[in-house]
Amino acid sequence: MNYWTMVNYVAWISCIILFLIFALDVIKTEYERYKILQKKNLGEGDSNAE
Amino acid sequence: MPNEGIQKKSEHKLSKVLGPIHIWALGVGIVLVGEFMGWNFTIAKGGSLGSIIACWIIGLLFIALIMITTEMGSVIPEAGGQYAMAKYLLGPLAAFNIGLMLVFEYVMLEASDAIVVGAIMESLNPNIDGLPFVILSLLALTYLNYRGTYASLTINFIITAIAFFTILVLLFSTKFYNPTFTTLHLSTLTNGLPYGWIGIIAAFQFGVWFYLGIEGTALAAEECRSTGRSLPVGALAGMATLLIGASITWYICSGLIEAGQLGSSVYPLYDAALATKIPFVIGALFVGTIFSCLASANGCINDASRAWFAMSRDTLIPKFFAVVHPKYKTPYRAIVFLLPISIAFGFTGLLDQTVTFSILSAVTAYIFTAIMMLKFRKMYPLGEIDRGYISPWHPIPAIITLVLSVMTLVGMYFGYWINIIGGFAFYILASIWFVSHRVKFVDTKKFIEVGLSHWPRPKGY
Repeated sequence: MNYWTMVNYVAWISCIILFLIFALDVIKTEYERYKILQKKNLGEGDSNAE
Repeated sequence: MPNEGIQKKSEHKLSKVLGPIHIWALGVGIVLVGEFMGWNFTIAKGGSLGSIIACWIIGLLFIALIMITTEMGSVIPEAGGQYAMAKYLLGPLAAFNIGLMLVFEYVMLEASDAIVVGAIMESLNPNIDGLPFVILSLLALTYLNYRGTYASLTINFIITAIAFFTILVLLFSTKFYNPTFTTLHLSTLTNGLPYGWIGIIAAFQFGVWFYLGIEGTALAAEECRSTGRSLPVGALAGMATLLIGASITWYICSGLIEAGQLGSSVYPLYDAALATKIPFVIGALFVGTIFSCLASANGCINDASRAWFAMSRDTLIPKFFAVVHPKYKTPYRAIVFLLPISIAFGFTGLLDQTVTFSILSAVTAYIFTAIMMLKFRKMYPLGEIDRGYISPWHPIPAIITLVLSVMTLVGMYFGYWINIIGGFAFYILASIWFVSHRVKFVDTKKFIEVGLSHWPRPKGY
């Protein structure tokens, strides 16, 4: 395996790690938002009825 | 239950943190990439003299456009820029189309930037695969935007400044100030107008590259600390920077690379750096090209998500996207939603197609913007409402925008007529969906509620 192929692997692994961090952050935000809305009994006021 | 109302309102409000420097960075950051690649196709279309003439004529179009968008943007301090203007001045259907045009202008530009990052990385060594770098740059910049506007635009300011500085490094490396020792081939600077005046019109399409997206500064109006000051100062300083940068770029590249070769170059400034044979300059331009692409993609993510957020907030598209992050105060659902779209187009690697759709969307929106300005001054003559900035010589800027935008579309027709028809078909289909399905969910009273609370009812309405 040469140096440049290693660079490709590093880039792909960085993509996967960043994707996981990002996805977890979004899921955590949505979950916390859901809990707050549930607690305040507001319901999903910002999603459409349709 | 007053707190509930405040809580709900704060979910749809963006934080006011931006000053003129951020507006400058947002405008120049999106556009500067056009000086590192793309603009040189004007030379293939109209010769190098045609290229610089197209650059300045299209510069006029953008100066006029900035003047009218800044006036309207300083009065309508809402996220969405031309979209927000359209909703007050043209109505829901036009607002929906302009919002969609803005989103696709920026998403396609963002995908194009990422494709170029991948291509530059591939140019380093044949074993390098560009695809992970395309995805990585889009993911990283989207995450940065997700985490906060202030941080992402501050980083944009830094990398834009570095990218602009590398152009100056290249300029001074040519010793342009000394005709005896300069490395610029001044005697063969241009190949004239090989296709005559029609070549200049054909060159308009790629001349737009020098400035495309500068009008996006108006999209950040809602996040400015002082919209009336930040928007005109930032946008007009940005336009001056781009005009100077475009002229320098043309001068260096035309002086270092023969017109035939320059017209088909993928990275004209980087190729010009290679022609100097100075390792430091070559390295600087490699970094400058990457940074300009990243700055552009970063600004595009910011602008596209604001337009999508604004459309959602006004119920033109499902309201699901109109939520601000509780901690970072960014329109995070809009930001996340647009990521797979830009990655999908980045995957195709079809640079000319993504660029053409971006330009088509932008130029069509400019035509609507000129019409809006004419209507805006008719509805609200000077003195009737407070303006942060007054565009001088009205209606000349609006007419210049209208005429030059139509001429650019004519220029596009020479090489990309299928793209024009395809693009318009897409917007017509979207309009049919809007009229037949979505329009019944639009609360027209709420739609213009903010404007009505600021302004008197216009005469004749």
